[in-house]
Amino acid sequence: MTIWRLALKEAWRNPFRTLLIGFAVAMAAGAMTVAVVLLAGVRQAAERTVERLGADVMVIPAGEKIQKDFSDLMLAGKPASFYFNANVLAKVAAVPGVAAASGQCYIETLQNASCCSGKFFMVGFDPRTDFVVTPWLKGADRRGLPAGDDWIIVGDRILLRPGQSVFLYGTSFTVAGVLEPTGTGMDWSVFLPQEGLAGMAAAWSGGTGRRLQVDGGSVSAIFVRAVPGMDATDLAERIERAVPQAQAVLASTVAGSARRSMHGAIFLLGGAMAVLWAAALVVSGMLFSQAVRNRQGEIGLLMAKGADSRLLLRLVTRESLVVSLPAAAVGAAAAATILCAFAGRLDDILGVSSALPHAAALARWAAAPAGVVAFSSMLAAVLPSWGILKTEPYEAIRRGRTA
Amino acid sequence: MIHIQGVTKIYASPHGDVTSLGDVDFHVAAGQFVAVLGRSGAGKSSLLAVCGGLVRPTRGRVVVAGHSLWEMSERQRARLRAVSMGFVLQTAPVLRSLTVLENVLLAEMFLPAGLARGQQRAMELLEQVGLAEKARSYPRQLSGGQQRRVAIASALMNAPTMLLADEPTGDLDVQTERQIADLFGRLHRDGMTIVVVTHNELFASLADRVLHIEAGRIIEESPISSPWKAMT
Repeated sequence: MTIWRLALKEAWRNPFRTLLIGFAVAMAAGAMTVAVVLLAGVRQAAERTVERLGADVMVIPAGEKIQKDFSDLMLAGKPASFYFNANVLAKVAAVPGVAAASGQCYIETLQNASCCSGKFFMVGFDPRTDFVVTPWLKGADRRGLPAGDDWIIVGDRILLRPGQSVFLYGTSFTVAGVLEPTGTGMDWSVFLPQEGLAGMAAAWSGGTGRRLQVDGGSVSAIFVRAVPGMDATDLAERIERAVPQAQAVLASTVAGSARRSMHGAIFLLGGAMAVLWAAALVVSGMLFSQAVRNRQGEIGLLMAKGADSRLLLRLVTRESLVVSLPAAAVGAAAAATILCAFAGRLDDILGVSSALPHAAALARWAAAPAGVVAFSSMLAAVLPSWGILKTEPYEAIRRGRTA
Repeated sequence: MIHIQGVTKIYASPHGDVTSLGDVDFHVAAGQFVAVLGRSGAGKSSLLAVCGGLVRPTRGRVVVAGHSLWEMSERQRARLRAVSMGFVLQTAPVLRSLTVLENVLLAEMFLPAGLARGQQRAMELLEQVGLAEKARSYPRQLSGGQQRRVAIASALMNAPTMLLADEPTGDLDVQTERQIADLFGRLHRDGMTIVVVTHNELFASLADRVLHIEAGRIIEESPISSPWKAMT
């Protein structure tokens, strides 16, 4: 007979109590897993975007809405369209402290267009000045981009592979490369040379009479790399002075913007998690201490047979753990499974690309809340029982007589 | 073996202090069989608990097997109980979550490594109390008397030098009572020190000495010589 076996037998003897505690713990572990995975996922997605941009400052047309659209675009690949005059790129490139500047043009995506189905975002870029897109090309695709303007580069989540041809808005393009997964909006984007984009827009009528709104040579955003030693904030101020109709967004602002947009969701998730956690602790503590109280006679018997209070504490701890550990694991696993099943929908709701981490990271993020809930539930169960365990054996036996 | 000197035990209750034992002196030599008789509430069970170190006396000294119980740590007292004592409790004879066999084996959980005697001894003990065929049963499937017999087998699992039993023949039919009396007689002849709290005068007649206790005081002590004792 071991303490673990004794604990298991006790849990088995009271299936209703075991199920009730297990259910409460599983719900709390599940809620905490959802909260932790989502909050950490969004934070990581935002930070990943910042790190992977490769630019110190991004210049976009002035306006709060445009800044928000730009953040959504960067984080989730959510289509947006706003444009500068073509000469802005030259002005920005001429600002002292700018080492490199590359423009991108975001196309207004037609809904229900006959050309293409699926969710993706089209970006025109300049391969000669680009330092944002091409560094992410997969190894074999880096050997060199083709000449001409009838090729595209696709993000990792777009189901096209190099050499394939595809019609976009009536124009044929060949896939010249695929990007590494970035966990940003780039994964859902199709990149094509500015000239190719302009040609495609000019040729497209869609049979509906509507035309793609792309002004030849227009620029939506300019990615700027600062010269070494140049402070990004100072550079942003210089750019805004030089180009009054523009706003210079620091890379860190994009992540901050994403985090701010999550405040409401964080509050709701955190609140739900706290309520379920507290409920689990109360249920676990109440049922468990009641069970220990009802077993005072048996506890007295164990003491009479040679158990000291430390051994009894180990026994009660294990009785709690045999219920709360598997329950927390099941709750966390169920939550992780549900999150995975609705990963795409979650990305849409949260406004990020790939909020969920890969399987190994997801398992780690789920294991931590499961451990915290199981441990806290164990404490909630054991602490109210401590007074009973410290009772003298004969007192426990006497109380057991009346319990 | 057991020396109790000037032991008083007072319990606090909502209606004021209750004296369960009042200045009791009591000695049991090694190998003696002592029966404690008295009415309900007289202090019999408290005396047994004091002997086994299950309750700290308000005053007085308890020495068992040369150890002053309340000068030992809780751990040392627990170890002494695990190795040297066997208890048969009236109100909590067995653990409800364990089978009969597991209840008997339970005592081994508290024994130091190397002292475990194993399943064979547990089955032998169940044979002795007539419950071998119930080894896989749970306590809820047994009568109160059968549970008491499991408790006796369990109390003997650690081969104690001292057996402290609270009403071991309560709820038993005459035939089983006789069986248990025979067992206690054999244990006594083998040299075990036994203190039994009982209402059963016939069972008490097995003992070397009988203490009569009333209102927490030993009022009479008598050696016994009965026909039943002669038979066992």
